[in-house]
Amino acid sequence: MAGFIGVLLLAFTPFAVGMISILLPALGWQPLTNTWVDTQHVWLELWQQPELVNALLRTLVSGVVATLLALVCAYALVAKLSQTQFGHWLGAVAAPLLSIPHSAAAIGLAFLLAPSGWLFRLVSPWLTDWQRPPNLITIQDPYTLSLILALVLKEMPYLVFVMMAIARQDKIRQLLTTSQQLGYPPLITWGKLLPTLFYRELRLPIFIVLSFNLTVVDVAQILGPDTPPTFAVLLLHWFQDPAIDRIPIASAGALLLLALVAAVSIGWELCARSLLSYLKNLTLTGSRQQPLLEWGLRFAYLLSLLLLALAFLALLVLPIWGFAQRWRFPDLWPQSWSFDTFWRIQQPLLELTANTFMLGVTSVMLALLASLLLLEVSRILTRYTSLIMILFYLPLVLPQIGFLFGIHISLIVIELHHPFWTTAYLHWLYVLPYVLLTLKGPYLAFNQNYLDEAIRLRPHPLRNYLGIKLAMLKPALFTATAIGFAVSVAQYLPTLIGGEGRLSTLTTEAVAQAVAGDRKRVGLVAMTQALLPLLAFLLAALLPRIWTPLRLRLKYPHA
Amino acid sequence: MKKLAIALVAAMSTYAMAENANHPSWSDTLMKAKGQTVYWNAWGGADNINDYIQWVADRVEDEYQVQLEHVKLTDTAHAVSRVLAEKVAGQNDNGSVDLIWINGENFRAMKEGGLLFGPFAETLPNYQTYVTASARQSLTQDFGTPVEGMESPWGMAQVVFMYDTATLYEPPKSMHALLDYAKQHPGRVTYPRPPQFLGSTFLKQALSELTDDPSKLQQPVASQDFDQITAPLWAFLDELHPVAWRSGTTFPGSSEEMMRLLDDQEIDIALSFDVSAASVQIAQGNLPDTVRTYVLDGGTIGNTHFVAIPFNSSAKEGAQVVANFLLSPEAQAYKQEPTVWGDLSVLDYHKLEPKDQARFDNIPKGIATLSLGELGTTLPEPHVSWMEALEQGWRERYAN
Repeated sequence: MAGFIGVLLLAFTPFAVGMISILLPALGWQPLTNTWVDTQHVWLELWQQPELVNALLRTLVSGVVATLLALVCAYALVAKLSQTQFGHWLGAVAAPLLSIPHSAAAIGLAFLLAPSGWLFRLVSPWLTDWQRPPNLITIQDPYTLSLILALVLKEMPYLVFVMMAIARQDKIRQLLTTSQQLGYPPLITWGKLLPTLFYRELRLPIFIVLSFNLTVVDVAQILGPDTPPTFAVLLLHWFQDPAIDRIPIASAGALLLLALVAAVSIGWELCARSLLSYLKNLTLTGSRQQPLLEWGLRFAYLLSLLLLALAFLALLVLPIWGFAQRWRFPDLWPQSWSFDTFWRIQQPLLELTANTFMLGVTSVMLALLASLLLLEVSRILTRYTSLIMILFYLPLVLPQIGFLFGIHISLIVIELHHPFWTTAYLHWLYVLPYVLLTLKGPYLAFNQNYLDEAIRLRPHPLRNYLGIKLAMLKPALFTATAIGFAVSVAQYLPTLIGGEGRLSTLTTEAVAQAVAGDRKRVGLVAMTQALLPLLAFLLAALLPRIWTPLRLRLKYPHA
Repeated sequence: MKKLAIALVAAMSTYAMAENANHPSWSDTLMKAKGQTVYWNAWGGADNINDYIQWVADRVEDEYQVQLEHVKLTDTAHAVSRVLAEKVAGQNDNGSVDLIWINGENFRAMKEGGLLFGPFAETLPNYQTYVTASARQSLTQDFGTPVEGMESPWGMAQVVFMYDTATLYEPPKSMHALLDYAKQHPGRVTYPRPPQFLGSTFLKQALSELTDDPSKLQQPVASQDFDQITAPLWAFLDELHPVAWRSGTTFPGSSEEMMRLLDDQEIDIALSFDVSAASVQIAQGNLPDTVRTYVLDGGTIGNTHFVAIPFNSSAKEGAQVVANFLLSPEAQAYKQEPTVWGDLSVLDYHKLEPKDQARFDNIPKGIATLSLGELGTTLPEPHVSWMEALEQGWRERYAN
């Protein structure tokens, strides 16, 4: 029980401290001089920032549209494929796909979509007559289209992953069979009947996606507009402005962003309810044809396939840049290849990889430990299971930018100067919910009789717990490890703030260099960044299968 | 008379000894520096500069047993806000930044915020031996902020323009010519986004040329009629943006990005604060070898960049040893080699010993690097207060 309370404290203290640390400046506290100004003054000044309105607008548009598109595309994909062989395969690769750090994908996307990018080279000059890149605004556009595209690419696999799990449930399958027997084409069932059932279980994942999209910093820095940027990026600029007096308005802005997320979530929920009740009415008509709905789903399905192809190309272009020597527009392929860039940066690359790896392993191991503790508690105290889950989901729904800056100040107050451990701690906060979520199902479904029986035979509860229960949960543990590791690898803002600038990972380096840096170098760093979690997933799939035979062979070499 | 002289000398030496008691001697500093780890927060966006800093790290470790760690920043402001946050938190020693590459706005913020250790620069042996403070205004006035020994000079920079001779024959050598060129070739001209320092410098460069009386820019902005003085600048930008790269809706983030765009032929003219940038990028295969450098007919803005030590550094001695090493003829000459970095030396050539003079004489010049003579007139940076006012004006007009 003490351990349980300990994990609870560890997980929530930073949020509480971080929130207080932005609340005070937002009320008018000037940290440098430790003086107070009028609260009204702070908020008035925030209101007078020239970028404010447009930055908020761009945040709102990109966040909501990206969420909507990702949701519809993922749903269409699941609707078309969940009952097919390809669908099963897609469900299996969705997890590794979503493990690819979004910043790597965003960088690849920028390499594709820029006027000098791969897509334009593909059609130049033979089709377009462009000897030089056209003067077009295809990335960092003021309408946030390229940002939306990147966000959809990031969130769609996650939603597919969640929806595939829902689609596998018996009640969904039965419903599909029944309605087919009644003469409804599957797409009609998916369009009219199933959204309500799905939405019930999708609500939380959607809010996570929505909150992420409205507050994302790294992807918005790479593909988002810049005059003004989205609000979260603007806040980061303000927090890091050398003109010290920006801290109060930046804090007030962080609160404003929180309020925006809350308002959008409520608005979303209201719209969803009225839409679902409309669909319900549609269902009651009994019509077996609904061309608009059907075509809508088909179109979204095609769009999602197109997006997946784009994601594939985005990842493919990274190593090509990494091993190119000279590659000018409009050449489709590099004029010459070389390992020069690789040799030139192998030292820092190794260092970055080591940092990324160590952070991932440390935070995941600690998250596994905490998850097992929390799950064991919620197994015994069944009443609290959902409460625990909701509490630990919070870090995903709360925007990072506000409380992380608060944490930055509070970390210095307690003079904690361990960039590695601080960053690992912040990573742990974000890794924990994913590990917990992945383990929850298998762990709570575990047939406790095995363990009880084992304890009766051999009175060593801890050894049996490790040797029987955890050994039987091996596949889930490995999957959770891989997912947690991928989450850690992708962390940008927590690394930036926890590392105090002294700890660089593949992700911070890739984002820092994405726009301005040498593309060959960025290509290599982002490629390594994308490979690392894929490797973890490969191991997670392979290890549980060969683990026991390997262990037995080592233990009984002559058997 | 003789007695008086002796008394005078005696008095002077006692004075000197008292000085020594207050200022620990350089050998004390060297002693204390041994074994210290210096976290040098320096912008890390260019590989050649990073490599040079790594070279410095190796050298000071060999010679002075000082561990130098390069903390790569995307923006120096991040380090400033970190030191500030530490001050806020009352962390008066053991700070996370020991040395910081700095000038201009960031220096002013740190100096005025009481975030700096010093004065220390004028006590560095190499400063005393090789630097002539009066040689350039920018050595003592950092964007109008008096330096007063709170930062030690490291290098000098001047705005240069780059173009590809394969696509552009006659580069536009004034702001008016640049605007005409942009109108004839829509989408091929741009500048970095203020408040990125090169972007802000472009605004100052344009203002210096377009305004009626550039000498007014040397005064604090508060004492001047900002709207009247800057009106020609905004009129110029209003005309430029519709025909600029991506129609002025986005701007490159840095000089590096501009050079990448120049290589991609998305744009025709790139800017840099690094006089040998073009030669370096050609050597690394990032620009075609037809790229050349030029400056404007009316001269371009130049300044000095420095290193400073935060008030709460835990390795102030080590940081001073590094700052002193950076001022050595060896480090300055190596830095000026175009394939290394090409950054101009801050040392007074006439104060160097003959062998060091030869070292500078033998530095090869890259194919696209201008000589000191070709760099022409160096325009002074406007008073530091102009930067913020211009950035604010730019934000209100174009960033929303």
